[in-house]
Amino acid sequence: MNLLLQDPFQVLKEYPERLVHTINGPVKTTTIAFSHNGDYLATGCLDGTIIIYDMDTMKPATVLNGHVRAIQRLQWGPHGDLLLSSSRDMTVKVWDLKLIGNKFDIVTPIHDLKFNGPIWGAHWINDNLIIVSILEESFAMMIDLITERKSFLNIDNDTPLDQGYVLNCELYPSSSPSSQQDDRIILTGSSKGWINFFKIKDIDTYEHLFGTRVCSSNIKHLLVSQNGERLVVNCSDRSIRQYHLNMVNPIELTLEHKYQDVINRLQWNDIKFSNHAAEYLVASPHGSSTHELYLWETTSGSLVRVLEGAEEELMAIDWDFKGMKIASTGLETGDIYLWSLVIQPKWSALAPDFEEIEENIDYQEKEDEFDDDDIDDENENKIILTKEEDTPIDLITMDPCDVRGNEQVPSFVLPIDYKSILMVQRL
Amino acid sequence: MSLLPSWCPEYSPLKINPVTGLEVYCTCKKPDEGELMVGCDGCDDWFHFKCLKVPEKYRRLVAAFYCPYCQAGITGKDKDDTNKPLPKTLWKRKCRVENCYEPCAENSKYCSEEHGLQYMRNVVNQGMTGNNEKNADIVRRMLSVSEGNSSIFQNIGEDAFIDNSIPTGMDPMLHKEVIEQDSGLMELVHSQDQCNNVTMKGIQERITILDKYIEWVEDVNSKLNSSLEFENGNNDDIAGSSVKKTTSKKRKRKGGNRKIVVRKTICGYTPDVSSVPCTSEEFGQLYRDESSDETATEIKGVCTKMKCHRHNDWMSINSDQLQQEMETAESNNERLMVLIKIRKRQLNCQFYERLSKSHSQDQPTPS
Repeated sequence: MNLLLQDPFQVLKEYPERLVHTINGPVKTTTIAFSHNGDYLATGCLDGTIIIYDMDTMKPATVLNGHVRAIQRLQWGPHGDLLLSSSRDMTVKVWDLKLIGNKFDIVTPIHDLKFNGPIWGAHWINDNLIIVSILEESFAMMIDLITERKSFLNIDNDTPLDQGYVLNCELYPSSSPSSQQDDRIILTGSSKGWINFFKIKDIDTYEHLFGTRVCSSNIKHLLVSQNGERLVVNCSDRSIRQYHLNMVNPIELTLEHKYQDVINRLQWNDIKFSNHAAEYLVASPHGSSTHELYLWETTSGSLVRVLEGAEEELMAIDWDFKGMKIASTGLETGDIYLWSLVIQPKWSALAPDFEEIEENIDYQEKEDEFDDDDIDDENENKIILTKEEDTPIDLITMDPCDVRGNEQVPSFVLPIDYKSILMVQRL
Repeated sequence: MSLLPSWCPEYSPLKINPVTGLEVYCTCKKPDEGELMVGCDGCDDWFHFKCLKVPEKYRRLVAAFYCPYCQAGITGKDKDDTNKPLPKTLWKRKCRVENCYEPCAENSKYCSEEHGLQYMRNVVNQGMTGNNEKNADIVRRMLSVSEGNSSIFQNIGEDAFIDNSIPTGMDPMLHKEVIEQDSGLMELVHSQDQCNNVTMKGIQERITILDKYIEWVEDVNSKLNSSLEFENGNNDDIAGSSVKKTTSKKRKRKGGNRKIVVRKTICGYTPDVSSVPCTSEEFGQLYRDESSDETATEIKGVCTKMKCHRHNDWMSINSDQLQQEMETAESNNERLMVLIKIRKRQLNCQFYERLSKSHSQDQPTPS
C-alpha cells in the first residue's frame, strides 16, 4: 500500500523495530549490501558465491560465481548496476549486472583484478576508480578500471611514521556521487589507529590532507554520515568513537561520544549509521552471549533500542533507508535477519466513507440500487467524468524525495535470464 | 429456485396411487408397465428412460444414475448437507465405433477387440477411398512406409525425428535459407567453438603452468630441507614428514636435543607463475647466500617467508580459481549445447513447415 496513505506516525519512525523475516541461504553469508533503492540485497558467502535476493519476494534473483574464498565486502556501483566484490581469494571483481541474460554465457566479471594478498575491502571512488585495502599492506591501492592500472596511495611525509597496515577505506559523501570531474575525499583507517584523509582527482593526482591517530589498536570500521558531519570509528579496543567532522583546512575532529559495553566489555562486529544526519547508530556486539543489535541516538549518545529476535551472534549489518530495513547476518548459521517496521494497513485512508468491519457481512442489494434508467443523469455524470479525465495525470515523474525524505535515484532492475529458465525447464 | 430442467414436472412425494392402489414411479407417476427403467442411486425411485428424455440405446452406458430431483437437491441422501456438492449422473465411455453403444472394455477405447479392428479398418478404408484428401494422403504414405509390417506402422511418430538433422537432398535451397544461414545458430555454434577451443584450452594451459610452478617450489623446499638436514647433522628420515610452516630456528630455540623432524618450507608465492625464475639448485644457493639478511622476504620476486600469513594457502586458492573457471566454462558449454539443440529443433520445425506448405502448393490434386 502507498506509504503516503498510511499513518504518518507509523511510517516515519526513524528505525526498524521488529524482526520481520529471516533468509536461509544455501551457504553461510559473510557480508551483505542493500542496493541503492533497497530493491535487492547482495549477499556474499563463505565459499565465494554471491547471491542477490529480491527484497519483494525474499527469493534469490541471481547468483554470481567466481570467487573461491569468503567474500569480505560487497558494494553496489554508483549507478546501481555494477557490483564490486572483494574476497579473501586475493581478487577483486566488478560485475556488470546489466549483462545477465544478455549473451549465451553465464555472467562473468567485467574486471577480475588480482592482488598479492587477501583483500580487506574495495570501495568505489567514482565510476572508473576504486580503492582497495589489502592484507599486510601499508598503503591502500587505487585501481583505474579503464586501464586496470594499480597505484599505491602513498603518504609523502618527510618522516614516515609506522602507521601499520591499511585496513579499510571510506568515501566522503559528495553532492554528485558519480561525477568524474570532482575531487573526491577518501578516508583510510590503519591497524595502528591512524586515520588519513586524501583528496583524489585521478589515479596519479592525489593529495594527503590530514592524518591523525584516534587509538592504538586496529580500526575495524570507518563510517561517515550522509551529510558528512559525523565520523564513527570502530576500533578493536572495544569502543566506538563518534566524531564531529569539520572539513576545513586542516580538518577538525571533535570527539562527541564513545560507545562501550560497560559490563561485558565487548568488541563490536559491525556498525552502521542511519541516513541524512546520522541520528542513529546501530552496532552488533561480539560474543556468543549477545544476540541483539544495539541502537544509539547519536546526539545524546544514549541507547534507544535493542533489536531482538536473532538466535545467534550477529556479524555484518546493513541499513536500507528507503524500505526502513536493517539486515544482519548470523555468525553460526549464516542466515540473514531482517528488522523492519510493521505498519497496520489503514484502509479508511483510501476512501473517507470506507468502513472497517469486524466480520463478513453479506451485502443485500436494494431493488433499484444499481439501475441505470435515468439517462439524463447518466449523461451528466459522463460529462463530469470526461472533464476529470481531461486533466493529464503525471504518472512518470518521480517526486524528488520519498516519504521518508530519501533522495530518489533511478532504480535498476535486474534483467531476467530467460535462457537460464529455458535451461531449468529442459534439464 | 428450482434446478429442474424445463421438461421435468415438479416433485411429488406420491408413492401409491390412491385411486388404483398401485405403486407408482418416475416423474410421470405411473405404475410399472414393463417399460425400460433405471434406478436412482440417490432416492431409490425408478425412472423411465423415455420420461428422462434419454434414448434407450444408452441403457448399458449408465455408470451412476441420479434422478432430476436428486440432482436438484430436492431428494437424496445428502439433500440437507449444504457442504456436499449435488450428485450428477455419470456415464461410461462409449465404444469408438459409430453405431455401437456398448461401454468400452478396460484400458481400451472399444467395447471389444473386434470393434477395435473394425474401427481402424474403417479409418484406413476412408483414407484409401479419399473422403478427406489430406488424411488419405498421410495414411497412404504411412502404409507405404511400413510395407505391410504392423510393428513399423505402430512405431511411426515414436522417433523424435525433429532432433535429427535433415536428410541431404531434401530441398537444398530451403535448407540453405532456413538452417545454414540462420544467424542465431551461427552465433551459438561460434560461441561453443570459442568456449571449447579457446577458453577451456587456455584454462588447461594455465593449470599446467601453475602445477609446474608448484612442483618447482616443492623441489626447492625439499632441496632446502635436505641441505639443512645435512648441515645440522640430523640424518633422520625426512621424506615421510610433510609438516610444513615450521622454522628450523624455532627448533633450535626449543632445544636442539629434541628429536623432532621439522621441515623448512618457504612460502614460494609469486604474482607471476608463468615461468620458474631459475633452477631449484640455483635458488637454494641464492637462499643460503641471503639467509643472513633477516629482513629480506623475496628472492627474484618469490616470497621466501617461512610462516607467511599473507600468502597463506595461495597454492590452493590459485588452483581453486582455475578449477572454478574450468567449471564455469564447462557449464557454459553444456548450456550452449542445450541452446543449440533447441535452436536446431526450432529451425527443423520451420523447415518442415515450409516444406509441407510448398509441397501442398505444388500438388493441389493427388497424382
